[in-house]
Amino acid sequence: MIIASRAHKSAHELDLMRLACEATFDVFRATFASLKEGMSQDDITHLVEAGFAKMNLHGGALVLLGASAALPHGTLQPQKLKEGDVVLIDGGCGVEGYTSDVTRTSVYGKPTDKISRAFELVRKSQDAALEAARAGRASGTVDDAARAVIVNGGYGPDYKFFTHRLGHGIGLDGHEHPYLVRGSKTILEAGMTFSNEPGIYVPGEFGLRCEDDMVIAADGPALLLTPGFAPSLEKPFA
Amino acid sequence: MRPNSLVTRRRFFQTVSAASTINLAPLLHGGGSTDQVALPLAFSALKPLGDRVHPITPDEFGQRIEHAQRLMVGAPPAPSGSPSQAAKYDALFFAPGTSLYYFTGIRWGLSERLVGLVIPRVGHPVLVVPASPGASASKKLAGSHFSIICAMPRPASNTRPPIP
Repeated sequence: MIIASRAHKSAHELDLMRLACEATFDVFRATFASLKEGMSQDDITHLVEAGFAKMNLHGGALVLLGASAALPHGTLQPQKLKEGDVVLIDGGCGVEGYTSDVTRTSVYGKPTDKISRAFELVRKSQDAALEAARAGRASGTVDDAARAVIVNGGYGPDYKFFTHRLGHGIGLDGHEHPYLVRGSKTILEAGMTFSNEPGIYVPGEFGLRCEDDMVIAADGPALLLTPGFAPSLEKPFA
Repeated sequence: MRPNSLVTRRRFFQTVSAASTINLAPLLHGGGSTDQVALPLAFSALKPLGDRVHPITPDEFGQRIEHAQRLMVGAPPAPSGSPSQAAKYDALFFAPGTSLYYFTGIRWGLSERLVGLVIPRVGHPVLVVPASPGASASKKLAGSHFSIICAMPRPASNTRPPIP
């Protein structure tokens, strides 16, 4: 019953979530523009936190570098950013308690063709998820649509490289019911908000994920709460 | 989404659940310095959102509670109930957490002092607050939709025998 209340976001709640997404973009943009060779994950995390603090917001991020980005939590060993490393930043902030959850992956220096291609697939997967996330459909079908893009692109089967569910509900909690996960029969309704976060993780090589937040519309595909998807690997923000 | 058990990510979600608009000193963890560290140039344009943020209003909290009350009236039968009778919920209780915040705007943590919200199917919602800060909490909420119950009144004197 409470899920029924909280899952349907009012226009005001959506405004607050859009603000949290916009602030997250601004801080992440500044962070990506400030990367220097030799920085560690902690150095970059501190930059993100300081950026949010400058905006009088509580926020932070998980930062993964290079091959360790293939692991969900990276590694405890400090990494030093070097040419060719992916930089994966996943975080957000709260505005009046309403959270954002955004991930951007870029490459420090020149990406390999393999990483470039994997990025394109992840972006296409996000597009497919947005298109599939419609009122009246079962939430599991959104994961199916996103996962099909990744698997058909050669990164399959199933959870082999795209190792987690497509997305989670989001609002006052960073993760809340319902979930965009295979098999879920929860029917999507207008006002529900979710993360849209496919990824490809290749052990020993790289991990990459793009994450934006979206709201189910009364008609048609879902709408982004973030200002826009990542334009490219080299340019994570417009 | 991966399990969020990494310390950094857990810290992020915990801090997000705290007040988000308090004026903060720079939150630079690690390193011993408490002085403000100069941020790179790209950060210079970042500034507080200011009046772009419109807090949830008391009226909105009231509407959320009324909506929950309507849902309680029309709630589907409980699994164990007789299918011929529509089961109703008589009340909802919320301990501190995001749902308490959703209905009241109150941020609180769990402790031995009970803070909670009771939404009855019919009638005024009831806020339960500790007796001691309860007085000021009650004043703060005066004029709002809640009845206030102060839990655990102070003993009249300090002569309570020790718990055996």
